[in-house]
Amino acid sequence: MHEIRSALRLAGRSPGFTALAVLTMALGIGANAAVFSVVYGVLLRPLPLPGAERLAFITREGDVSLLDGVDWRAESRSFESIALFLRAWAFDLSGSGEPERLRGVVAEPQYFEVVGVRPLLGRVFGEEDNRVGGPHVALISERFWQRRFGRARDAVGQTLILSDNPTTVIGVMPAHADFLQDDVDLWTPAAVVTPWAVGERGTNNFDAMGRLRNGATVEEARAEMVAISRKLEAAYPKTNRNKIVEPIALVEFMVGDVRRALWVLCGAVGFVLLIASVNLASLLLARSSARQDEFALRAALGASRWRIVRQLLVEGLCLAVMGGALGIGLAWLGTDALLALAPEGLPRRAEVAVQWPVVAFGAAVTVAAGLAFSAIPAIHVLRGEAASYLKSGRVMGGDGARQRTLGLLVASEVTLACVLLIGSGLLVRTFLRLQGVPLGFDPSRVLSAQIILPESRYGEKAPQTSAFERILQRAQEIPGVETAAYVTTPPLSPRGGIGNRVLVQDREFPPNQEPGARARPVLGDYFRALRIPIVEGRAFTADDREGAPRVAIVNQRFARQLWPGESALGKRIAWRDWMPEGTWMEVVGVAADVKATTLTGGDVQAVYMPYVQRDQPWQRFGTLVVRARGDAGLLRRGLREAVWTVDPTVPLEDEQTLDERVAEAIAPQQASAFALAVFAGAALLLAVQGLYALLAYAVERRRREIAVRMALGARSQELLRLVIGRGMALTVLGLAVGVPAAILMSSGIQSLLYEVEPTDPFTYALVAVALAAAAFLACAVPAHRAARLDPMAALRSE
Amino acid sequence: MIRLKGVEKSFRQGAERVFVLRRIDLEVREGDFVSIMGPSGAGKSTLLHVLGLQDSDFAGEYELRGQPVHKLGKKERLALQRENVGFVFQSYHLLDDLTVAENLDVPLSYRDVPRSERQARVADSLDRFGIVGKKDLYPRQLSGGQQQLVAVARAVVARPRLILADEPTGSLHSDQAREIMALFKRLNGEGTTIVQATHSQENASYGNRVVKLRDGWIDA
Repeated sequence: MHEIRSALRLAGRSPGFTALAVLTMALGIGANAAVFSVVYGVLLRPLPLPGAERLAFITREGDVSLLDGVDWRAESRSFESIALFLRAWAFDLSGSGEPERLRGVVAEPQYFEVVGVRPLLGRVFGEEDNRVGGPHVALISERFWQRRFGRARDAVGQTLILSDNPTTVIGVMPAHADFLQDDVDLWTPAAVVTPWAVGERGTNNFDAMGRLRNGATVEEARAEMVAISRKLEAAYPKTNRNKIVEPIALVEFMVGDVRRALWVLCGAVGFVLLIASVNLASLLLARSSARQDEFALRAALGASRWRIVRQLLVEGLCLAVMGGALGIGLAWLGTDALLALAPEGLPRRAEVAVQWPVVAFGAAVTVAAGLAFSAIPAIHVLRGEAASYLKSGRVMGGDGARQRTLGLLVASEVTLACVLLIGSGLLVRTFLRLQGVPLGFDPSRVLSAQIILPESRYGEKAPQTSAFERILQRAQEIPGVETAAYVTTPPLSPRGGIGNRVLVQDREFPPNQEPGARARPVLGDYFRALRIPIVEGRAFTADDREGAPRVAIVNQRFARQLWPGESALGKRIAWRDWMPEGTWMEVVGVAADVKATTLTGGDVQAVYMPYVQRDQPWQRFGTLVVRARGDAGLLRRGLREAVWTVDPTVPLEDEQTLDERVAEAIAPQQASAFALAVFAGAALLLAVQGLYALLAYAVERRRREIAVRMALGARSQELLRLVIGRGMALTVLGLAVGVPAAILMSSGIQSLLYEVEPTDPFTYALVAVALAAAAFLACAVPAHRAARLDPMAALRSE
Repeated sequence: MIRLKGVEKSFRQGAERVFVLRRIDLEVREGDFVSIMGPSGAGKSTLLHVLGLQDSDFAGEYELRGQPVHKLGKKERLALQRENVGFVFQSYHLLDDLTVAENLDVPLSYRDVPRSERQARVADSLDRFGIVGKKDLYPRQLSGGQQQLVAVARAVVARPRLILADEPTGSLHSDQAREIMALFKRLNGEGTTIVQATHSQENASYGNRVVKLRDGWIDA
């Protein structure tokens, strides 16, 4: 208690020092607690589902059929239950007001048994609801219940018009039922909504999730499911070839992509805290040096060495606790800032908050850091300097061990800052690379919007074609529109679009080993609208209409793959499953590759074809792309009206400019780069502050030495060199350790880099120069002070 | 060598101006050994600092070897100091992190003396002052007298024409003090002008002239 009172009095006596120490600590703890709140919410917090640790995601990207599920359920011993479902199925809500696009999960009844979520109101659907041709029923989400029904309990039993089908609401699901964060509005039975998938092994559109039996592990389930998949592959080679599923834990499926980035961020803030602690250790060590007389007096009055050590530890802990408390307060702001910065797709975003585990983490780190940074001055006391405090020391040129320790502490700060700056530099370079990556199209001034024509009225080709042609015509008439076009799947679509195997005339492939390609049916002058260069041949024209000779444009990747070293023009290809046997499309052009799904990947093999020449009647969805003469964002209203003039029940979804789509694609890298840059900046500031504090302290301690040197004829530049030289020597030492350390550690972020080597010499050189420059500036002020010292006053003060 | 005319130094304390040196007129010829004496607070050290060109904040005229110090800029003053002045302090002021030899090297390094010549001059000084055996020792390993011996060696290694010594024996016992004073006498005999500030009548007796200061004034 006495020590605490004494520590608080000391803190009050030097408010500047206390404020600096508390703020430094608050910065370190605040950053760590904020990042930990994200790590805890996303990676560590148990999923809000009963027995969530027994849930496994069996598929990866919607690639199995309902019949596969039937077989798996029959054969699997590891899973207690398995359910197949379609994520993000679009429903058009009509009947009152503007049409609205809802997102639904189309699921087997086993789905609710697997996830273990019970409805807030009503009931879940069972086998009796899951019949082809049966009445349409739906469970609605709590969010939709709130929005549409104002949480009225009589919502259950009401009828909604969903994609032209009267659908009865049978229950309301709690918010955590949308654990995959697909913004789900409703859940519907698969056999009712997707009757075409029932009994059809080739409809590989479903995802699957299972609940493991008690005691079964994911690894066992994986081995078992691989074996079952192989058996199905042998039994059904045409539909199940290469369809090998490998279950992974649900939480891994949800957060696997961000795990690395979050741990890197965690490491980064750990470094910041380490630097902050080292900084505080330096400050306390310097202060303990200035308190020699006090310690001497305490020793003379009978204080044991341990008593003095304990006093130092308590003083450090008091500062740490003050800083920690402020830091945990800052973590609230920091968490909000991190969430604002995080890309939209951050899994479990809603579960991120400063909760008790975060506070406990912050408190534990505070105590650990407080003990760590006060231990260093305490060790110096234990080593016996206290005994010599009573001796009058003519300190001229530094107080030995303490100065060396301070120097090492500062060099280690430079090392840590160097590693962090290099890591952040590599991510910033990645971000810049991605910003400048050739897209293959020009995203500026283009607005895009997805529409799906309801099956009930647009189940045939003719009304589909007519609707899209009329919509494009209306869109083209919007003032300010340069070109309007349609494509099934525009660039930078994470799901990649529809595809099929391709036959090539006069070339044989083994069964099921024909080349695959994404289909990109287009309407209007799509290539002009997106400025996608036609590198060979021609674009489609108005003459490429229905009934005219079938034509196709392939992308460069497809052309290279199929006809390396020769022209693709004139070659004849066909969709294996989508075209009548014996009909072919003639390749009339080769289009430049575009970024199909992400900025880091290239294009997939793709075939463009005139929408009007398609054979299948199910292509009633697609994306409108409208190039504006000015600001594309201003066309939103006009585009909606153009669509609704043709059909007022069809909603527009994903309305965004292509620039926004590019920004969205780059968001994860931008977030990592920005967050790491902020922490690296903080690290740099702390390191520079540490260097400055050390040199300012050294100059203060060496006033008489400097005065003597002046008396012996030292010029200003020699004194500047003396101080700056020491600072820069420590900086070089820090860099000499930091650069190899960064080389070792940067391989850990290799998966986050794009077209930047972990040993990118430019980044390393830039960081070294920037750190050296910052260090030089930090040295300059105390050096200047040394050069302007009044030698007479300094010598007389002795 | 030195001519002071009407030199005054003062500082403001509240509304008052406190004088440390008053109308100092002083001439020191080449080869003189002058002792400035007076009680504590008389202004002895201040006068030495003015003479040593470390303090330029004074009124009046000061010529050192014909150069009007009062008209010189900082850079010229420093150059003049480097060329002509060596200091010896009461508490030696050796640099603790440097060995004896390195301490002697410091003034030469500030005078841009080439390394080979510096080595020769340091060796010469070590020999001349009989401290060759101590050249690799650090100041804390020496006695007070030995430290002051090194300090004197450091003051003369750059071959200044003028040595300013501020209570050079203040921290030494009498035997050591006598040795140092004898050393000063010898240096003076070799042509070096010496100005020392001292309380000690015995030390003053080694010089050829005494200037008495009281409350900033020179006693007539």
